[in-house]
Formats: sequence, C-alpha cells, structure tokens
Amino acid sequence: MKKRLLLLFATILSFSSIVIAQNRTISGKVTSAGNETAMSGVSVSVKGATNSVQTNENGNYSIVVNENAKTLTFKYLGYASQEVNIGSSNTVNISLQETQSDLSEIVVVGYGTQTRRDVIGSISKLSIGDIKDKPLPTIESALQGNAPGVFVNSSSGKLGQALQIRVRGISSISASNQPLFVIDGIPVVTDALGTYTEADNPLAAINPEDIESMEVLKDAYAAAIYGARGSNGVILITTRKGKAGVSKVDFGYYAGFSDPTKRGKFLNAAQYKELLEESFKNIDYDGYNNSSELWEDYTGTTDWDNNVDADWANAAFRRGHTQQYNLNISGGDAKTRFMLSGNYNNNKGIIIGNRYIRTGGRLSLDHTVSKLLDVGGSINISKADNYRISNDNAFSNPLQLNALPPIQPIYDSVTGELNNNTVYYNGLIDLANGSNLSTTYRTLANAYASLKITPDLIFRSEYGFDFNNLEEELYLGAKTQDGGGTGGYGSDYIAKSINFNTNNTLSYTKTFNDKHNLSALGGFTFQDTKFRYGTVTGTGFPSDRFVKVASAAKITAGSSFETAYTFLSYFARVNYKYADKYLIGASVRTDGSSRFGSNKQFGTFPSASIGWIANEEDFLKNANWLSMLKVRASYGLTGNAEIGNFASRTLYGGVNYAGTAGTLPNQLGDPNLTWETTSNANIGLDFGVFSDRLSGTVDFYQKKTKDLLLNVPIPATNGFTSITQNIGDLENKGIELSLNSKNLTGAFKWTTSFNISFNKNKITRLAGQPIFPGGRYLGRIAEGEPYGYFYGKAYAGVDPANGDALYYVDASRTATTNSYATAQNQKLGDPNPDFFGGFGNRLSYKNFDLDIQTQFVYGNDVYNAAGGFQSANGDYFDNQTLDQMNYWKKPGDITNIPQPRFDSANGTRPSSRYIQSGSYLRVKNVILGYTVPKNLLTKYKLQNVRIYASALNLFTLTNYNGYDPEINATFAGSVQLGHDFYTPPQARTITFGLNVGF
Amino acid sequence: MKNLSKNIIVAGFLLLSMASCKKELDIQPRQSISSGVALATTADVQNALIGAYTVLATGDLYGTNLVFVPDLYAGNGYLNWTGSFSTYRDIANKSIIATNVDVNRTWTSAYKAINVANTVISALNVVTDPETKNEVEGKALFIRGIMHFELVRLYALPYDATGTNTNLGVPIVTKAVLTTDDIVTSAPRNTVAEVYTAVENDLKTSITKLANVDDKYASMAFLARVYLQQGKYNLARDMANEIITKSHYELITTSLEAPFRVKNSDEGIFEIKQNEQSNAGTSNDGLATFYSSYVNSTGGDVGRGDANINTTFYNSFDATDKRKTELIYQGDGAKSGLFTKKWSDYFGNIPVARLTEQYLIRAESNFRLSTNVGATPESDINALRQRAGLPNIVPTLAIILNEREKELAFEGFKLHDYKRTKRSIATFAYNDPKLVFPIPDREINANKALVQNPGYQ
Repeated sequence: MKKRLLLLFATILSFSSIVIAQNRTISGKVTSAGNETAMSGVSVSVKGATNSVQTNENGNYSIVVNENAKTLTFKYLGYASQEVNIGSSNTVNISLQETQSDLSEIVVVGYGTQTRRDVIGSISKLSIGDIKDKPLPTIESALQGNAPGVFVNSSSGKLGQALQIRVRGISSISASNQPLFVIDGIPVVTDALGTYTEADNPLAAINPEDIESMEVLKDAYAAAIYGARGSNGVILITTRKGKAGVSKVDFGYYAGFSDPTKRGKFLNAAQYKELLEESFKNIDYDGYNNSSELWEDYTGTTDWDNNVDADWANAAFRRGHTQQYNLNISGGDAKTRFMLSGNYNNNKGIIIGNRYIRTGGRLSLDHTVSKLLDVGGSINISKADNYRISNDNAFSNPLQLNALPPIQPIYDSVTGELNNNTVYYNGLIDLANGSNLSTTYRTLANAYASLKITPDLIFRSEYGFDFNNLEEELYLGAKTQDGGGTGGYGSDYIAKSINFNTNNTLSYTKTFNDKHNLSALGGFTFQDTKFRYGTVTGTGFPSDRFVKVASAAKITAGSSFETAYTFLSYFARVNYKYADKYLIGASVRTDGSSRFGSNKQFGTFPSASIGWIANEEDFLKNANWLSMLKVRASYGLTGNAEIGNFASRTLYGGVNYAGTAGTLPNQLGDPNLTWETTSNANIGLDFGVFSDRLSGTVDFYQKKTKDLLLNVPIPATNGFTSITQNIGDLENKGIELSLNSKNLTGAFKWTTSFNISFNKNKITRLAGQPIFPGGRYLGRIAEGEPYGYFYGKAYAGVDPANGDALYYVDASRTATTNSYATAQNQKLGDPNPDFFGGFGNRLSYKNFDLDIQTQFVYGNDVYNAAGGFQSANGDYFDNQTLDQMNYWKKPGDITNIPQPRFDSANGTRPSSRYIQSGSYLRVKNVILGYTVPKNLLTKYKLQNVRIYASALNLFTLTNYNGYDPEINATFAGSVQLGHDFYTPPQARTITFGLNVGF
Repeated sequence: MKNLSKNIIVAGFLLLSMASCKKELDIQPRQSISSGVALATTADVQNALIGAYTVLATGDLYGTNLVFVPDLYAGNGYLNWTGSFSTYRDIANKSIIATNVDVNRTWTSAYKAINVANTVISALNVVTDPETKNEVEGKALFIRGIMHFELVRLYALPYDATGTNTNLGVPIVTKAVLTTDDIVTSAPRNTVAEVYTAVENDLKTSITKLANVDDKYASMAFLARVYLQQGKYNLARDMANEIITKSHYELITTSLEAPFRVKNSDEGIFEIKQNEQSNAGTSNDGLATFYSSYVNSTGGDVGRGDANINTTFYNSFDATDKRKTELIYQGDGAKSGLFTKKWSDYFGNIPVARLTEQYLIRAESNFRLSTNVGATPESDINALRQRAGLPNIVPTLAIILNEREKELAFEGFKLHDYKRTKRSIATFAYNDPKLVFPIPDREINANKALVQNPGYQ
C-alpha cells in the first residue's frame, strides 16, 4: 500500500497549477495583538474568491485581488479570524487577536477544521488558555468542569491512573464507554497495557504543555465521521505547532506541594477498646473469660493489654511534592516552521510509595515545499516512571492501613522493625521490603503531506505511528505477605502496543456566485493495532538485595501473549452553505473491523445536520445587539466496537495441568456478533449578544443505543457464564447549557463562564436477566433503570428495644425485619449524577490576573463498600470510623448504629446503610498571576516574565463523609459505579510557577 | 475536463489502496484456537480432557472449596475461621447469603467441568482407537459423575437412606454446549434421587470403560463414597473391598505426611496435582493459603493462618496419636494457634481419595451389616490405629466414626459424614436448611426454572 501511495504522490506532483485573473495588489503586515510581534504563515484570502497567500517571516503579505473584491479574510489557528473591508488604499495592516471562545475561532473537526460560526455539530472546545499554569496530572483532566456534556471522574487519587470520561452518558454496557482519542488526526491507543485492574493511564505520558486545543465531538454530525468508534464521543487533541516569525524560547517552571483533600476520622486506642469491649461482651466473650483472652487467641498477640495508641489511619499519607520544568523553542519562516519542547515532571504523591515522573520531548516540523505542497510531521517521545501502589482491594493498599487496630504498634517495640503481627497485613512492609515500578515509553509520530491539486481540491495523506511500551517490575521481599511464603517474589512484565494508522483524504472547497459555498471531503483510513506482552515470575531469592527474576531459585510462571485488530474505513462529508446563513451537511462512514464475523464485518454510519444563522436574515439585520443566533439540528448513527478482539468466536486456549498440556474452551462466541449502533438526535442553539459580551450554547440531545454489545449472563449450567451478543437497548437524553460573559472589558477585565449538563440514562430493553454481580457490591443493570443503579437491602436503622439492625421487608418500606436474608432487594440509589458542570471567573487588572474555576456534580449516590468493615459497629478487629461510637447501648437508645456484637454481622452487610450522597462542589483551580511589565524586561532581552501561584482542588464542599466523593473503585468491575473501597482521595496541590519568554 | 480526469486518477488510486487493505481485516487469534479445529483429532480430544482436570484443580473445586468448605461449614468445635474473607466467615457461621462468592464459584466451575466432560464425550467419534476411546470416555464420565455428586451434596438437602429423596437436587447436565445454539436457559433442578442415580450410572459406566487402566479405582473409590452417602452399605463395602484387595494401593506406614507431599503416592487413589506453575493460589486462594501459618527457612510467612484447629478437637486426640503429634503444629507465622500439616505446601499434592477412606468404608459397612467381607472391622480400624501409633481396640460404631473423623480430618468429609449419620452440627440439625448452600443468586436470575433452597428465598 505504501508503494502505491508514493506513486500517487509522484503522479500528483506532476500536475500544474491554475492561472488566476488579476487586477490589483494589496499588501500589508499582520501582527499579533498585545505584543505586536509579526505573524508569519497567516492565511490571507479574498472573500468569495479562491486565491490566498500567506504572510512571510516578517508578517508581510501581498495579494492580488480582483477589482470587485470587497473583503479580505485573515486566518490563523488559535487566533480569531478577521475580515477587513478593502477600501481605496492598497495597504491593509491588521493585528489578530488570540482567541478565547470567540464565535469566529477555528474549531478542529474530524479530518478538517471549521470556523465556530459554520459548525453545525455539537462540539466542546478547550484551548490552551484553559490548560496553562495548572498542575494537571494528565491532559484529559482539563475537561473536568470545562466541557459541557463531558463527565470526568478521576476515580482515585493515585498518580498515573486512568480517568473515567463519559461523553453524554454511558452508551454501552459491556463494550467500552471511553471516548475515542485522536491526537493530530491519529487515533491513539488508550487501553491500559498493564496487569492491574486499576488501569494505568496511557495519556498520562503526554505533556499537557504541548496541547494547543482539545475538541470533544458530541453529537452524531460531529462524531459520525468516526463511525463505529463515535458512540462514546471523540476527543480531538491538537498539539502546538511552530509559527513563522522570530524564534521564541519559553521556559516554564513550577514547584509545589500536595496534601490529601481529606483525611478520615478513626478511633483512637481508648475508643477502640471501649467499642470492642462492648462488642466482645455482647457475645459473652465467645466462651473466653475476658476480652484479653479472646484477643490473644484470635490475633496471637497480647496487644489488648499493652498501652499503644498508633495512628494507622494517617500512616498512608504524607505531604507530596511536585515540580515541573518545561522548555519550548519555536519559530520559523514562511517555508518552514518548527517547535521543539522538552518537559520534566516529578510528582511525589500524597500516598506513601506513590510517585510519578514524566520526561518527554517533542519536535514538530512543517514545511511548505511549494505553493502546492505542504509536508510536515511531529514526533513525541516520553518516558513515565510510575511507582505504583496496590489495588484498592489489596491488603497492601496503604489506605487499608486504616483498618488496623490502634492498639497494635506500627513498629515492633523489641526489634524496631515494622510490626508483622497485626490482625491484617501491615502494608508498610510491602513498601519497605519491596518495589513496584511501571515504566512507560511512548513514541507518537506522525507525518503528513498536503497537496493542492487545484486551488479547490486538496489531497492530504497522514501517517501515524503510536508505539507504547510498558514494563512492570515488581519485587516483594522475604518479609512481605505475598513474597514471604516463597522466599521473595519477583515478576517482570513487558507489554507493547503498536498502532499504525493512515488517513487519506481529498477535500474540495469552492464558493460559487458569492452565495453558494460547498465543501466536500472523501477518504479512507486504515488502522492496524497489535498488542503483545511477555511476563515471567520467579520466587526464592538469595536475599532482598537481589530483585531481578534472574536471581530467582524457581521460575514459577511465564507467559507471552499477542492479539491484534484492524479497522478499514471509508468516509465522505459534504457541507453546503447558502448566503452565509443556511447550512446543511451530511456525512457517511463505512467501517470494517476484524473484530466481527466475516458476514457482519462492515457497518455504515450516516449523519446529517442543518443550521440556520438567523441573525443574517434581513429582519434581524438591524438588531445590532444580536451578534449571533444560530439554530442547528442533527441526526445520525454512530457505532461502538470496543469489545474483545475475537469475541465472535468460540475459542480454546492452552492450559497446564501440573506439567501436562491441555486445552480448555475459554469463551462461547456468537458468529452473528456485529456493531452496536447509537442513533443520536441533537438540537442546538448558539447565540451571542452585545458584541458577544454574552454568548452561549444550548443543546438538547437524545441518544438511543440498540443492539448493545452485551455480555449476556447465561445459566452457568451451560459451562459458560456469559456470551457477547447484540442484545438490549438503552438511551441517554439530556440538556447542556454553557454561558460566557465578558462582564468588564476595560482595564479591569472580568469574564465569567458557566456550564451545566443534565443527562438521564435508562436501560430500555435487556432481554434476559438483569446484571447483578452482587457480593460486596450493589451495582445492577436492569430494564427501566439507569446504568449501575444501587440495588439490595434497604437499611431501616436500629431497633431501640434490642439494638438489632433492621431492614425493610419490601420496597413499600413499611414493615421492618431483623433478618437480612428475608428482606427483599430493592432500588437503593443511583450513582449517576442528575447534573454536573463548572463555573469559572477570570479577572485581570493591569499586570495581575486571577482565574478561579469550580466544578460540581450533583445528585449521585456513593456506596462505601468498605463500610461493612470500617463502619461496622465493632463487628470485627478493623478500626472503626469515629461515628461508630454512637452505638446502641441500652434499650430505648435512638441511634443509627446497631449494638456491637463481635463477628455477628449486626447490620454490617451490604445495604443502603453505606450509601450517601456523592454531590460535591470543588474549587478545582485557582491561579493568581503577575506579568512583569514589558519595560522592565527589555534590557534583559526578555520577551515576557510571568509568575503565578496555582491551587488544584483547593477545597471541596460535600456531605460525603468518606475521603473523597470523586471516586470509583474500578477493580470492582464496570457495573460498579460510585463504589468507594479504601480508595485514595484526590490531592490538593499548591504550586508556584514562573514562565519566561526569551 | 483536465481537473475531472485528475480527480478520476486520484480516486482510482484511492480505490486500489482500499482493495489491498480488505484482506487486512482477516486476523486470526494467536492465543487461542477456534472451536472448529480444537476437537478434530484424538490428541485434541485428549487435550480437552486434560483441560477438565485443570478446572477440578482450581480453588473453586478441589483446589480449595470442595476440600475446605465441608470442614469449615461443620467447623463447630473443630475448625475456627479467623480470616477476613466474609464469604468464608458466613459459611463458618451458617449465615450464608445467596450472592456468596464462594457459593457461586464452586457451582459455576463444577458445571464448567461437566461441560468439558460432555464436550469430550460428544467428540469421541474422532477417536479411532477403541482402547483410547474407552479410556477417554471413562475419565470424562468420572469427572461428570463426581461433579454432580459434589453439587448435590452441597446445594441440596441431604440424601436420606430411608426417604424418597424427592427434594430438589441440582440440574443434571449431559449435553455439551458447543455453540450458542446449544445453550439451555431453563434447566430445572432434578430430584436428589435422580441426581444420585445419574452419578451412580456415570461412575459405573466409567468403571467399565476404564477396566484396563488404574484410573478405574478412582471411579470405584468415588462410587464407594456415593454408596456410603446413601447408606447402601453392602454396595459400599464390596466396592471398598475390591479396591483394597485388587488395586496396588497400600497404606504408607513410614510417614503420615507423605500422601500430601508426594505425587502418585501409594495411598492416593485420586489426586489433584499441583506445581509452581499450576496451583490453586498462594495468597488469596488455595488450601495452604488458608490452613498454614508458619515461618519458612527464608524468614517469610507461609499462609494466612485463617483456619486454625479448635482446641476441643485437638484435645480429643489421644496424646500419642501421630495424627496429632505429627500432623498438627503450633502456628508461628501470620497467626498463632493450631494448624494442620496436611495442607502446608502451596504446591503440594491434594489427595482427594485416599486408600484409608476405603478401609474406613469397609469397616463401617461391615460393622453395620455385621459382616466381615475382606476383613473384620476390628482389623481394618486397628490397621489405621497402629499406623497412628495407637493400641488396638474393639470397635463400636462410635469408635469407627471417631476414627474416621481423626483419620480424614480437614480432607472435606465432616459435613457430609454428619449429614449421612444424622448428627447435629452445634445447634443445627443434620438436615437444617442452613447447612445447605443457596443456589447462587446469579443462577436464579439467569434460569427461571430454578427454585431457590429453603431459607434463602
């Protein structure tokens, strides 16, 4: 295929250009507003005509125009386009304004760009200004609270972990719900490569400082050009590129510290003993004479009678430190532009043992070969070291230290070593006697060539390569729980994903008779992704100084793995605009994937949209207060193919029975498996009034997903527990509103932004049984209910007469019972928020600027799955949350905490007792900056100097009494939303930074 | 016109490029093979049979639960649970709920093993050598039979030798699920009597098919166990007698630990084999994980020490009983307390059917029937006592049952023996519904034809 494309280039290169009629020459200079530096590479064109030129390295241009030409258009990515009337003068000098969220800004769409004004799909955009100076752990976190319709949950405060991102709700049950990420036109692999059920975040390897903008494609018209991969939304990331002009050197540095947003309140030794004494007493000391004897026999220690008061609950936390260096050099001329950047970020987390270090470099190069041909590309190399901590549900998870009794010492008083005679494993031993490092090496590279076959017809070919390599190296020494039994445990896991992608498009744009504007796009794309790993595990090490598997006495496990998938897609899009006010567009994409059986391999996803720019109508032309009023409506289909690579087949895998090889069926496949389809209707309104002093967007949408790719549970008596089939429907509908206002525009500037999104999710059809994993968790999927709603026994408080925990007998919630088993299961709550959004203010006065962004989530429930251990009225040895001291003591007591009865599960089983509101309002970012005045800098040859203080997660308002309401214990499976299980809180990070431009 | 022709050329190139990619959609899995080629030859069918053993070896079945749960469930005065796993705690406390993960995983894997056995049986036509065919079929029937037996003992009210046994048992599955068309979504529970009949038939046919190989003794040992569970003492006695007299298995007198350490030991009629690469688990699953608590030679803890021996049971041994002095130790690892040495090696052997059990079956059956087939109850019991370093005794039924409890301690017998002999476990009568697992909640949801057990509705 490559050869053919080369041939294609050669053929195209031999074509000649077209001669244009000419009349008059206009020239001038384009500068950047604010610093008045010359801008090169600015596209200058005559409105309604086809010719365009670019400014040279000094910002100068010269364009030949027809004598009828009235308007010149100046365009540059990241700047507001400007239209200037051509008067009698042959000189037009202008300065371009950097965009914030102007209606004339350039918006990146699938396989192209559009001006905001012409967009008829639903797209949220984030620009560089929304990202800079924030100590963001990873680029996608910038979307939180800033992009309407995009729900972001950080899942946990661990560094380098995958974020949960949902664009307009959850549109699938068993297939993935993560949006498609496309960096500079190339879809990248966002699947975790590692072995942990709490996935690592491959995007964490990308430096937020390299990002120019992020666009979220939300409705069908915007996303259907990505066809089978558009149902979950598409996030287009555009990286920064060099601009022609004087070479710029920018240096940035910040450093700061972080603390947990919240710490838990647990019992001290005296309180613990009081509660446990009561608990033991109420079961008659289990046949022992007293608590001391019971304790000794159960735990094998005499800690009951020793005077220890250990603060295990805080042992997991420490003050974190973060620092980042960033260097960016850019420049070029009309022929060649470049940007070179380097980045080092070192983040020592708030959880002991957790640290994330990212180092990366990036080079981007664009070259104009001739008037006809542009070529360019970029390469991004990064390395990330993630010093990991265990999964939430591992005893070695530092947060689980809060379960250890305060009467047991952290360090053994005799040996001075970490106490290993604790009722649960002392996870500190893992940190002291082991190591756990995941290292990611990632290379993202792309190259493009863009050829003007005619002034209207452009052929563009892009190649992308995404090579992601992960190595997990784990060592658990001879004193640890998991390594102790075998004299040390070491493993090494190396995985790589190799993703190759090519996009080839022909685009055609032409304006006829000044009124008809047509643009058309056609192309194909091919993606080939391979994933493979090798792993080896050894036990029995000479000593803890040997940590490589090479030193292991026994190689206990080894494996290698390979899988692959391909996508082959054809697509086309047509946009037509009449008289700058009537917009119509249609697109279609046909996707083929190796994931589906050969008879159902292809799926077609069409979409269409119409828009009406009402303020261009004569009857509104005179309404000067109205700067923009656009109504748009779209409808289309998108798909989801994010299931296992071979889910449609019945497969046998190789197995080992103590040295004898065999085979075992590992899945039952449905040969008719095919695409999951989402129909997506959207009606939107964009408006701007008073010269865009107030602007906003409202969108109403309805997404209906059918033929869900569902892991349908089947009776286990069949030898399999589920099959992946196209069964079931669900829908999401919602409203998004965003408002931006420029409250003050003088010397004192103040802008406000607000957005809010409402989404309602409902499973409308689920042939067969509800999905209810149960066990320790409450999440369930059932017809007529939202995804993952909480289901189980409803807690009815405590019987004042005897301290028994009570449950409601049935959903009428009238009668109660003390029998957990006979209480009926019922709906208990909903982990999906009613609404979420963000509210921000930016103020500046002279050289000072202040940016305050808040983010809120309302109406979601959180279930603390650890409640049965840590808020369990002294049911077992686990230390308890402080509120448990309000336990039932004597007949007549009115309380919500049942009588403590050791090991009797009095009210401790999964129930609504551990459900709370997870609503919160968080001051996500506060940045206070000072830009040193220019006149102070010139003698030091500095372009700009800015210092700032920045706070991330400054404070959180919530009624949730766990660590943090923004959690999601991902190890529990995708059905379990809003589950907290010893999940670390977010960090509050305060940084101080400096940006210098040379 | 010129533009148009150029466009056509470009479009033509694009189309050519597309055509070359089409075949790229054809990707075969590298990690697994498709069902179409998985059962095509004799070797394929034998491989699938080995697959069934790997299922039996998981912690869901003999790797942990089928050995551990019957002792934990009947643990009063015998075995204490001090661990943090609430699923086992609930089993020990007889307060199980229908979503219990261990209840679920044992059911699921037992039927997985049954389906693999059925799959093997359904593919026998590709096995041409009659000798091989019989052996493969016999082993598959053995697996299907013992799985149904384990299921009916745990998930249904006990078999009553004097009753009609029309209580609900478990679904009998004899048809392989090879494609989605084979899925049965409404298999009802057969009665306890029907399940026992099916188990007997599978094991009997298995013995015939395995007539020329040693594996028949595994089927016979389980059939003897099945007969004993039903109170069919004459059949149990004769089956046990045949194994003792005709097989090469013999009691190991040198070491009581040997059957739990050495693979293919002289006592091990049916064993689950483990090694470093294939075992039930070393941190969250596996018999040694729960049963062990000691410090190994490199100073690390072996086991979680979650299941320790109740002092009442420990004290009920004679002071010189080697099964006490050699097979029980004071834990010094993760937990203190008394622990059994039977399950102290993560990668150790799991003898599921030992020859000693056959002596005990023959002794008990002979005693109950007042016969002396093969040997007197006295000589059988004393053979075991002598080996344990104890003086000879004149047995009563109580002595025989006590001997059985001591000999087979922590090997997965207690619950089933107490139900069989209608003895209560603490305050729970032998047929208390709380001593029966619930049908897993997910299964009740997936299969409307299933009726939940009493006490779990």
